[in-house]
Formats: sequence, structure tokens, C-alpha cells
Amino acid sequence: MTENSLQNVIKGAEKASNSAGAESLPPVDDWNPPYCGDIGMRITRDGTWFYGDSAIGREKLVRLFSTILRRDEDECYYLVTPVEKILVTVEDAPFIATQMDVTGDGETQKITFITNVGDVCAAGQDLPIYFEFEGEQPSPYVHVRGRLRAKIARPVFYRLVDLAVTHQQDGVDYLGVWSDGVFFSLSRVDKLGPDYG
Amino acid sequence: MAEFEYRQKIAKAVSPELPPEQVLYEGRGQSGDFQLNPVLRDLHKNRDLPLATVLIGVVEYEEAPRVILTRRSEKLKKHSGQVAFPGGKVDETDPSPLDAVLRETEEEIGLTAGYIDIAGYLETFETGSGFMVLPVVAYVRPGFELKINAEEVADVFEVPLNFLMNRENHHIKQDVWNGQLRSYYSMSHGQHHIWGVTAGILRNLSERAFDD
Repeated sequence: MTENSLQNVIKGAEKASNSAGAESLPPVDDWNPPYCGDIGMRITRDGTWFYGDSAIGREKLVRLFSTILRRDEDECYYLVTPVEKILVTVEDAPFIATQMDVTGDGETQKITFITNVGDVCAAGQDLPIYFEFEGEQPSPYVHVRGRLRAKIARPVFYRLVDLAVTHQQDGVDYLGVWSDGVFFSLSRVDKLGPDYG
Repeated sequence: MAEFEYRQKIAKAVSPELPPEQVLYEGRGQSGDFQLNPVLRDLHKNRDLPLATVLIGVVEYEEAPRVILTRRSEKLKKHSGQVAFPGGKVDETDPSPLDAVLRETEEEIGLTAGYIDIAGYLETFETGSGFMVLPVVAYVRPGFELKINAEEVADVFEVPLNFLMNRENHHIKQDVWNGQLRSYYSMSHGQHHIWGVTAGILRNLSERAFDD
């Protein structure tokens, strides 16, 4: 039963991927399939995909799955095809930004991240860099698409911190990085001003 | 929490009187998504927002009080699958917002007014999506039977009031909506992820009532 669901999802994903073409992604937001349950799909904190107890080693398969991943308003992640929807338990972020390229400098600097599943994310207005805090520990992310994000891997984050400069906004100095004309503050967002209580 | 100690705390957070019309229909929300997202502050400045009411139902079990939450049906166009309180838009045919919230609660989950003892109104919450939400806090007598309207509600569950009021369980998360980075409160209890407006209203209750 579960074996079948996974095979069906793989077939559906391949079909969707073929009809979307090599350059584009399947239109997952247009699909409204019924929920088919939890068959044990999981993405761990380090970005590894699991089916039950076994890690999915085939890069091509992981890439294929990543193109049909969707995060819904219940805050859960799903693999979707036009006819199936299966739960994926995501421990932190679904993707990991494992590489970073930097061109230019100052306000015209451009930072581009590459994720473990091959997405290329040019940080800027549409793809912000941002932080969430568990206690005092910051977790850095970059937006990928839809409601999907990539955790910025530690070594990449250290390189990002090396690029930090100070910039004044509303009379306050912030430490942060520029990318494509947008300043991303590295200070914690929930302690900035009276609005944040 | 000692028996009914939470009642004293809630009593100082809520108002027994319905807020005046200008608060409900004309002004900016007394709280809202704009608190974490200052860019949203004037989003609905010149608009009268439709009024909605929600029920923060505290079920008074002997062991510990628990709050009633729903997961919205996948069939709904707005916020499908989200965790929410029972409630909804105040219709013109509703004599008062209180009548509206009792009507919606019965329609959605079958909980009837006989089990509900109103504590009062919490400050209004203006949503980024353009609603003025008036939360009504109420104590619910255990022993009720639920009748779930599957068109609107996928699931009903309860979360301990203690858990929801503990700030250590409140996390600020961020995400991109319509190309804009937005911050929101999030509190996860088991498989249930409470976030956005519902989490923001619970945060307000914790700040007003459980601030010690």
C-alpha cells in the first residue's frame, strides 16, 4: 500500500516534471489532490531525505521530489501530484543552502546561494535572507520559492557574516549584508524596537 | 495552575463590556499583524474592515483547563487547513457580536450556549488579510458533545491553557507572502501548528493575563 503510494508519487512527479519542461517547475500550487497520508517521508535537519528508516541516496530522485514539495497553511509539508498528496515531516527547513557566490561589492553586491537540491537563489527583494531564533541561537534562512526555504549551512553562514557591514536605518546602526540593493540585517528581528515588545 | 486561579488572571485581561462601535468598525485594530510587521500598520487605514468574532473557549476540566481549537476544512477558500478558533464573520442579521460567535460556534462544532459562560472581550486584532477580529473569552463546562460541520471544520482538538500561555512556547517565525517577508507567532503542540492570527491572539491573552 505505502510502497504503491510512493511509486505513484514518483510516477506522477516524473510525468509532471516532463510536461513542465526542463527549465520550469511543476505547477504544484494549482493542484488540489486529496490527502493520502503519512508513509514515512522525512527531511532531517541536515537536509537528508528519508523514506522510513532508509536515507534516499539517489540525488536525481531527491531533486525530483524537491520540485513537487509544497508547504500548506497547516504549516505541514507535502509531496503533491495532480492526484496524490503525502505528508513529509521536515525537521527544520526542507532545503540547505550549501554554496554561496558573491559578486560586486558595497550596495551593488550580489549574493547567490545554491541549495543541496540544486536550486539557485539570488538573494534580494524577492528572495530575502532572514533569521529565526530558538532562544538566543539564530537560524539563518534564504527564501527559495512558494512557502519553501533553505537553511543557510553553518560554513556558508560564517562566510556571510564576514561580508557584514554597518548600515543606518531610522537612526539606528544595524549589522548586515547587502544583496541586489537590499540590506539584510543580521541583528535579531524580534528585539529591534517598541513594536516588537 | 491552582483551581480557578486562571479565572482571576483572565478577568484582568478582558473587558465585560462590548468595545464601542468606533473601536469595532472605524479605528485601527487594538492589536494585529502590524505589531510584528510595522509595514502593515496603515494597510487598512481608510477602510472599514468586516468584523469577525472568535471564541477562546477554556474548558474547565478538573485536572487543568484546555482551549478549544479547530483545523479549518480544506474545502474553505480562505485559510484552509489552518488552526483557528471557532467563530466567523458577524452577519447583519446577528443581534450582536456575541450572538454571532455563539451562532458560529454551534454551527461549526455543535457546542451550544448552555455550556458557555462568557468571561469578556479581549482587544481587537486586525489581520493582514483585512478583518477586524474580536476575541471573546469564555469558560466552557465539560460534558458537551461536539457535532462537527465537515464543510467548515476538519478537526477539533484541545490544547492545555498552561502550554499556550507559556511564552517559552511562543516563537517568532518568518516567511515570504506575496513577495514580502512577514513575521508571525507560532506555537506547536504535538502535530498541531498554531500560527498567524490565532497564535497572535493567544499571545495577546498571555501578555494581558499571564504577565507574571
